[in-house]
Amino acid sequence: MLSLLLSIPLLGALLIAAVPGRRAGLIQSVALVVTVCALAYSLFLLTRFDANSAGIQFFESYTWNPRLGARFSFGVDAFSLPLLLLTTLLTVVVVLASCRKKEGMRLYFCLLLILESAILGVFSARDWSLFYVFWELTLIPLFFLIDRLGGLQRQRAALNFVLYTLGGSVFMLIALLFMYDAAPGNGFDMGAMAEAARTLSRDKQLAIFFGLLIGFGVKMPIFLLHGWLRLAYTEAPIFIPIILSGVMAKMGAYGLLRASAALPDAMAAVSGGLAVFAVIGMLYGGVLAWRQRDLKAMVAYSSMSHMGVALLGIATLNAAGFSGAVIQMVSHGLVAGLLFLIVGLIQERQGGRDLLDIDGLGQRRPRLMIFFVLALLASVGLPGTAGFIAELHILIGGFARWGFLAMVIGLSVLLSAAYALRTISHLMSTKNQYALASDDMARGELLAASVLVAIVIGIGTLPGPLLALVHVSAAQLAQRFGY
Amino acid sequence: MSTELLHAVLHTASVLPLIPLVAAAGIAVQQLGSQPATSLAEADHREPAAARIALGATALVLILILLIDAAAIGSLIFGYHLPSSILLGTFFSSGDHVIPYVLTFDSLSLPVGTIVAFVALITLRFSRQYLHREAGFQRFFMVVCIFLSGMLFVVFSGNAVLAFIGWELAGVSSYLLIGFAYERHTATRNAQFAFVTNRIGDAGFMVAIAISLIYIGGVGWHEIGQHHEALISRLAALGFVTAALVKSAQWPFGAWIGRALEGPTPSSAIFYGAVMVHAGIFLLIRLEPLLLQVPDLMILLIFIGLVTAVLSWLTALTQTDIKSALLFATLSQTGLMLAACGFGFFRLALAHLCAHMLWRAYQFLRAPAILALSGRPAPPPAAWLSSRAWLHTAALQRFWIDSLSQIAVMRPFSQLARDARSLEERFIASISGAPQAPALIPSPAPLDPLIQSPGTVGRLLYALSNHLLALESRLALQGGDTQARRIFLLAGDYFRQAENLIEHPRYLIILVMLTFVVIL
Repeated sequence: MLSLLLSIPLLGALLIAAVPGRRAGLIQSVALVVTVCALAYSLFLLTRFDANSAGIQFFESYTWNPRLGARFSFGVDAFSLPLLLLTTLLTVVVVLASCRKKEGMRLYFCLLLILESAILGVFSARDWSLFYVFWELTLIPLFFLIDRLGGLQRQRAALNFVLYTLGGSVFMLIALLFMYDAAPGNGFDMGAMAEAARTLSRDKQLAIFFGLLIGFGVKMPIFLLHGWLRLAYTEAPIFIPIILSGVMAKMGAYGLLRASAALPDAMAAVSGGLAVFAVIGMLYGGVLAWRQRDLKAMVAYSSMSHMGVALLGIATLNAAGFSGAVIQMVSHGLVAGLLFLIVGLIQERQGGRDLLDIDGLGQRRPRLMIFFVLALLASVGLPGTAGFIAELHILIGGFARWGFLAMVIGLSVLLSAAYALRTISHLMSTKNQYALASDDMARGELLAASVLVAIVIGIGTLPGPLLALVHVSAAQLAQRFGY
Repeated sequence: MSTELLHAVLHTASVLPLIPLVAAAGIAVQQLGSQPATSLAEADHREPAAARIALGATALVLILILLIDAAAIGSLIFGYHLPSSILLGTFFSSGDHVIPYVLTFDSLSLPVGTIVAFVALITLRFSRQYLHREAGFQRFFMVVCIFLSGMLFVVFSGNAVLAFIGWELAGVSSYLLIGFAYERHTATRNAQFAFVTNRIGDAGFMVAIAISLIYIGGVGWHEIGQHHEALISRLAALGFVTAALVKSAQWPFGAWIGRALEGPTPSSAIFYGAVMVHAGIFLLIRLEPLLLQVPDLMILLIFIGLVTAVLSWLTALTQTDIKSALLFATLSQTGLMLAACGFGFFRLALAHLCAHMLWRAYQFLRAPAILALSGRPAPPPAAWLSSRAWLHTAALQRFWIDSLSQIAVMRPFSQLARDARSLEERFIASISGAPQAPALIPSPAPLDPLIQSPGTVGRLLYALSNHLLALESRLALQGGDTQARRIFLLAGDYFRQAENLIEHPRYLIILVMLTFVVIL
């Protein structure tokens, strides 16, 4: 079942590669159909998912490398299913948004679909070796996307991104091999390995955990491992940051959740430090987002700030915190996707993305303005949006763990409010009078943005189903820690 | 003429080495005091002043020397007493050591001094036309004045310290004149080469002075000559001989003079043709009593003199430009003088020296016009020489003396200087906080009115965010010039430097010695 989900975009990529490059319209249609198929299929999986079970569902496994014990095994639980959905949804959004480009479409959509497949693989792999392979596989299409189709400094950005991620992955690989070596039993199966690793001594667990943390931390990104962030986000092709920030940043947090299930002692030992890093990243990202004039850079840093909140949720090690972290991941995926979508659309129309470029945007392109305002408010975590639910849960979890110290989240909300409101004030500026422009959001873009906003507000107003979905897995994970 | 009057005149006259120095200072003041010339006419108008000062001073020196000459000749004819040395006072004293300012007017210094002053005068007169409208006209006259002062000190000094002052003045001014056209790379490099090579001789001179001061108790020529202690005399003589050999460009120290022709022709005439190249021989003649005590050193002088004479003669035969040919002819003559000294014929050497100075000065000054005067190109080398290919090649290569001293002297010196400089740049400058070339740290973000916020919190936030931005810019791995890359490059640089240092024999030896020190 899951392997079918993975193969849909891959087949789509092959299909697109067969289409002549000059027929941009056809390529876009094929890409749209394929990604919508993947979305539909993942929605279908959602309907078949048993929300009351914390176990792995849709499990399938094939022999891959019997000598090492590596297997092709897939499966999802309540942590990964929302992320799968997020991936398929945001890919559709990217395809819908990238209909204005004309040249390089074949390469672009091919790489995008391969990327989607690789990300789905990361979220559904139940075997650490397979997980690692997919993890690295995401790099290849992204490298070419940035390097071939990116902005002016694309080469630098691509190199930065790949070097940082590879540097992290090396530690991850070493940690995985160490875990494979240290844990009795032969195989990379996540469940079995987790069982085995839990019995390891705390020091061994810590060694493995640090390796994994560096690998995951680069993707999240954790403070000090985020050097690639700004360049990659600002230089990538115009709508690729939707995937980068919306989905790929979640890969790190997701990996951390999996690692904490396997290495609970280590996680418990370092959770305090993780929380400190989370708070630093939160505030650091917030301050820098406030400092930017470049809207994309602003969203990039705000994304770092929000992932800091998610990390704080994971570091609480209790059910509320874990739930909050997963909801924050979903919410941030949606909101960051929406923000990057809007900024990309503005960049396409205004030719720039400086704070000055959006002065009086409301007069010229009211639809863009409305969606931008909604996205900014959602990123602040206004009640009624998904971010509020997430932050509330994390605050509850943090309060249970550290008491009033958890109030530091408030600072980050304050910071994000500062830059969001400043941006809104520029949008609404009436200093100059502008005429209404004819190229406001097109139908596809409107659809994509509306869907995202609808889900954000839907989760914010009716969080029940998602909470119920996540809660079982979160509670099960929290049991190992007892905070 | 009463003796008192004669003494008073001699005392007054004995400031004569200082006269050209004053003239040089005068030219300098005149130059500094005036704005740079804006037009050719204005520059033309200024030239005569400098030339006049220099010429006047030189003429005054010559007249004074001629007066003393007359007095000396008079003393021979009329039989009155003329003091051979004039004590003007104490030059300086340190502890027990007293260095008097004393000049010698004897049968050695008077003829040489007369010729030096005369050659300087005609050379300056020649240069007044020759260098007309050249860049650095005034500078040339100033430096020649300094040189003349130095030579007069060497010739008339009553002790080794005064002679050494003159020696150094002459060395510095020759450095300045070789590098006269300092915008040309060859000129400055050759000047540096000549200067560095000359420092070897200077070191010998200084060692000799130190030995004289410490073991002999004085630096007067008389005291040095009268000391009879074999070892001390030998060491002192060795130092002086080294100095003399370098200054007179004898084998194997002669390489610098071949490169010294970069200077303007009049300076070649006065330095290498006529005056300075003879300073070494003059010093040896002056030290006759000392040298007579060390016969083996005199044998060495014969050997070096003959080698120089033969090699320079062969080289001169193959030269195709007039200045080089004259230069090597000069060297072969000085080689003969050296050999004469070695044989003990000091008077002969002196006569040779005086005659040669005049003749060469004339030849060098005539050299620029030689083609017009003779009307034919340089003759090919003699048949017997060109038929012996190896000898001919060696002569053309000037017997590889130049490249040898390049390896032996120049390269170690510049290596040492480079090491010292990198030490300075990398460590000492950064520790002492000396200003350096601006570092390539990304400049803090300029004030951005769009971002800045009012209020204390806003300002604090702005300041904080600027700091974070600076940190952020260091985290990104950038293709161009970044912190990480610079750190890597710097580390690589250091490693390479250390590697290079260790490869050098001198540092290797130091390392080995340090190891021994640690072990012992």
